[in-house]
Amino acid sequence: MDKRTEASQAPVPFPKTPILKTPTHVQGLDDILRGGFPAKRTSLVTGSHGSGKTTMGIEFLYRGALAGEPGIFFGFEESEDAIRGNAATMGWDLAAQEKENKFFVMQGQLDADTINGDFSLKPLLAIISGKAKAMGAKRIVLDALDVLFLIYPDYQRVRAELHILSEWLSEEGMTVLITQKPSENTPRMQFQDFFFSMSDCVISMDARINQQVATRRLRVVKYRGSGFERNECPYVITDQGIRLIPISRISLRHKAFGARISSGVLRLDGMLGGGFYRGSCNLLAGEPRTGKTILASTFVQNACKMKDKVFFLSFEESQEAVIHNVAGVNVDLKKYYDSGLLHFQSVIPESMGAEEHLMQIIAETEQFKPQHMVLDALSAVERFGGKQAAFDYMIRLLNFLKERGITLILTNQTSGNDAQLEITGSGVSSLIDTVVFIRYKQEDGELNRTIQVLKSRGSAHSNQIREFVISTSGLDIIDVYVGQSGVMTGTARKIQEAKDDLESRKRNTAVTIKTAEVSRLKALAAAENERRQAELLTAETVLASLQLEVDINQQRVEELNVMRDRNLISQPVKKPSRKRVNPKKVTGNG
Amino acid sequence: MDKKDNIKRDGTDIYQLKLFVAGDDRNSRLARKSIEQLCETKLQDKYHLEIIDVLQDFKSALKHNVLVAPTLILTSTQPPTTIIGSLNDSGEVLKALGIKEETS
Repeated sequence: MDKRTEASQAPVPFPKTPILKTPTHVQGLDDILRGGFPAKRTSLVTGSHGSGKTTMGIEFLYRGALAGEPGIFFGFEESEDAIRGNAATMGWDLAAQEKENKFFVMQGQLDADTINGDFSLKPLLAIISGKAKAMGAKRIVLDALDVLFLIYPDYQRVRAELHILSEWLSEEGMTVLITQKPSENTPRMQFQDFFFSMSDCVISMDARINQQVATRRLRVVKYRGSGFERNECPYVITDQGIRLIPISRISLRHKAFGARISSGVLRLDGMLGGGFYRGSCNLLAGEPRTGKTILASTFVQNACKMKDKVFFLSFEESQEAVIHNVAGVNVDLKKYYDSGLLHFQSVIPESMGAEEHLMQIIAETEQFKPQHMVLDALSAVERFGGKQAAFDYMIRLLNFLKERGITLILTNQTSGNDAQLEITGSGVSSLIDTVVFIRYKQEDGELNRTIQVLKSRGSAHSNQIREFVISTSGLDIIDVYVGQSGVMTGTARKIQEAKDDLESRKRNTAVTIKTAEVSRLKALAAAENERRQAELLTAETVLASLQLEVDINQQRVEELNVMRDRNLISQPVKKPSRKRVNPKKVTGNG
Repeated sequence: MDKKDNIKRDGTDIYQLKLFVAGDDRNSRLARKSIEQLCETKLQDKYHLEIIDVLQDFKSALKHNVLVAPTLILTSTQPPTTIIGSLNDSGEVLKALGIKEETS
């Protein structure tokens, strides 16, 4: 007893000494509370009607009971049967736990006919203590305690009684959860502030209607001696109780990227540096009707072909419409839908709250265990109740998928010329690993599609723009013509290509002609050469004969000289010198 | 309370009273003194008063749905009449219990 008294009064001796906590076992809540409610202390949950604070109280005790910690539920608003009935809708059999003495539920009803003088709450405390001892209970819920205090006429009395209550329960070593409606700023309800200040941990639960869609938020307002998640956290009340998905701690558990998986379009894989990474988040952004869904479906077809399971979440069209539409461009999803590899869910966002839907998706994902998910389209998520709801929805879904290594293909509809700025979508860009952007390009009176990889985390990727072609045989990506006036696509590209073709053929012809000319000239040159050779030969022959003639003449002159010397001939000597001129002329011409 | 006024009582009626107290805190002491005095002066031998200390016997408190102390329950009416508080105004208490003043 003494130790407990000390523990309850000491205001957390050292910052680094962790306080003892009692796990709530409510899904996600212990993450936010970093372990649970403060043990042997009083915690407060405030919430309006329908916020689920009573459910929170029941769940805290029921899950505790299942974990072997009995609990006592004291309600001041609802009857015992109503509490049991509420629990039964979540599949919690309180009666069974009551039989095992692990749960005790009592309606605290004050049916005084007359109030005459002052009174205290000691019998209530005596009942709780007595029951707790008998059951070995450490968990106490006082539901709608503010209702009980309405019998006190003045604030000071309430304050005194609450103080006694809190001290008593703390001394008994009980972990107490009090629920009440949110504070009202009226003198009558002033005591609610005291609930607040006496509690070591305060949680606010809020159910509101945002753009016609119910949204629920939970926030830890304070937690003495402990850190806690300070942001508002969406929650839902499912048929399995309250579920919350806090962000901050999940993010730390992201898996690394897996191997590559083909996008289903070979050339897009090339642009992505080898395809999408398994477990990554990939955004296909573009204007309406650019083929985002077809591209996503092509991926689905390819993944299913490899026996991977895909969860297709469609906010835009029914599954029949999606299957039918993509069948027109040679993408067969029906086969895989029939074989069970493809799971469809099409939802009109307005039909349910973002949290409800998120929980449903998560539950279905956990059951189906897909390798990949397609969400078509991000832009529709905003219809769940505005940008904030979309952000909460996406950030939690993305975290959930990343944590489980599920690839996400996300389409997002953009519009107008600033589309590039819009593509990030709902402010979740930091969680998106790859952005593929499809856009229309208008030229020469026609619209064509271009595709570009704007971001691809963890891989080298092409920055180039390619033309994206959708035909009855499927998707294809082709090179674009980059000319002086920029990127050309479609007919403009074809015309340009035709021009190029003509030019090239012209050049080819010119070469052929020139080649022929060259060979002709070569032949001519050869012929000319032959003729010259012949001339040369003739000249040489002439020269040779002339030479011979000269020699003969020379011989004859000498013979004549000899004969003249011997006086055999009396004729003059001039003849031989005149004949010598002729051989010189012949040599010069040659 | 109108209902209780309709219940006919003659001289043979016994007032069955239970007073739930919390130990001997001030309010409990006051209530005990007040009801004991009232019974002796107004009811003489026509009453049976049981005093229950919830700190000793929480089960009785549980059974009678007593959350505050002091609580006085007149169990001989249907439904029982419950008065909470230290019973400092005996006139009001008598009225609530349906007991007429001395003059009757």
